[in-house]
Order: sequence, then structure tokens, then C-alpha cells
Amino acid sequence: MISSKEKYQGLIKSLKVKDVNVKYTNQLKIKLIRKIKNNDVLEIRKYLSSDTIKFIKKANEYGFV
Amino acid sequence: MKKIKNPIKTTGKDIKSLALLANKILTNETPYSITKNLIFKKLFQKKINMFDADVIRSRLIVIDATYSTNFNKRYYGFDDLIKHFKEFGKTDSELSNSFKEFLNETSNKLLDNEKLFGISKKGDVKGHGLSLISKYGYYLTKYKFPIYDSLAKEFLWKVNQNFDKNSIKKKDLSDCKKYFKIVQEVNDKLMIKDFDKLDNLLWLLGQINKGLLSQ
Repeated sequence: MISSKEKYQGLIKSLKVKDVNVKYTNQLKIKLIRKIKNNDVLEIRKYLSSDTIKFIKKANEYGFV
Repeated sequence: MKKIKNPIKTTGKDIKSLALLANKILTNETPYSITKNLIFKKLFQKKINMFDADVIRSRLIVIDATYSTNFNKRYYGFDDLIKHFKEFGKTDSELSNSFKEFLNETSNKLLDNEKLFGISKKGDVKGHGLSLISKYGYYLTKYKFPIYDSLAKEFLWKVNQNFDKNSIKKKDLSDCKKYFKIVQEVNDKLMIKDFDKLDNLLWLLGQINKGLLSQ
């Protein structure tokens, strides 16, 4: 989904994910979905394609993620 | 993550559209597509026209490493599996046909919950190799064979629950014969009719659910 290291780093920094052991990836998901649900996507558009944002939004609405 | 209280009820058309979107995302120069299109394409490009255990072993080792199916952790697992494959086809074409036959033929035991491969460090018989075998079949048949693993089972069930609640039992997905019957039915119901796109959908849902976006 994110093709480069720089973009992935950018997304993590932008979401302010704290690097705390096992819950780290959960934090990433929760914060990302929250932003997408609130249409607060201006920043994350730099790192994720509009298709990926659309996919996550739909998958969340359908209760899959 | 809190579960959504009232998820939007989907139709087959909605899911098909989501699967097409997943396919579009994943084929667009992602690490996933690079691995799939470059590494696996090359590995399976040269067809085996007579039995060649070394080629099969190389393919299995790469699939095992890429998908973390942990087959390398058991002793003689690859040897047992190569022998097993030989019973179902000595060439790529024969084995590929066996995989396709398995989907319709109940007596075909190419994938079998009871068939175990390799031994553990203590010398006990190890487990089945359904996940690795299905992935080998997926690439050998050019994506005409569905993938069987914990992620595919979990999201197949979740997706089906949304649009056709309780039509499948979760425990049936652990029985490989039933799983492959169910996956074909769901694929038809969803009008995807393409195991590759269905796999793209289930895989992407799994990655997002785990917060793994670097794929």
C-alpha cells in the first residue's frame, strides 16, 4: 500500500504513533481509521493513495476492519 | 478497536466493487505486487516438463519465507511435501490439473487435513501443510486456486457474515474440503468469480486490520 520507506515514515509521524511494543500496529490502525471517518485526510493524502483511503473507509463502514 | 455497532449491510455488488478496488491498489507498484509479479512470476515461469525436486524445493522455500508459513521449522517437511506432490503430478501441467481437479473432485487428496508432513525436533510427526500447499497451487495455476490460511479464513467469514449472515459455520472453514467448497460458493455469490481478486480483498483487509500498511 505504501511503496516507499519515506512515505511510511511520514504516515507514522503524522499519526503520532508511539512506538510502544505490541500495540503499535493497533494504534496505527485506530488513528488512521479515526482520521478517515472524520474526513480529516488532508495530511494522510500525502502518504496514502485516494484508492487506499476509500478502501479503508468502505471496509470500516462494512465492519470488516 | 471498537467494532462498528451497525455496519452497513452489503450486497454482492458492494463486495465485488471492494475486491476490484483491492486489486487496483495492490497491482499498483506495491511491495506486494513486486514480490508477486517479479519473484513468483520468474519462479513459476519456467515449466517443469519432467519431475524436478530441486525446482519444486526452491519454489517452496521462497513461498515459505515470503508468507511465513514456518515450514522450514520442521525437519524433512519439504522432502515429504515434494514426494506428496509427485503422487499428484510429475510435471507442472499435471500437478496444476490436480489442483484444479481438487476443487471439484471429492476423492482428490492433494490437500488433506489428515496428511502430515515432516517431524518436530523431538521426532514427533508434524502438522499439515495446507497453507503452503494452497499457495503453491495459487501460483502454479496462475491464481486459479484459492489460498487457504488463517487470514483468508477469518476475512472470508467476516465478509460473508455481513451480506449473508450465518450461511456458513465458522468451524467448517477449518476443514479444508469444506473450506474450498465454501470459498467457491462465496466467490460465486459475490460475483467476483476470480480467486485472485478475492484473495486481494481478503489479504488487504487482513493487512489493514493488523495495521500493516508497508505492503
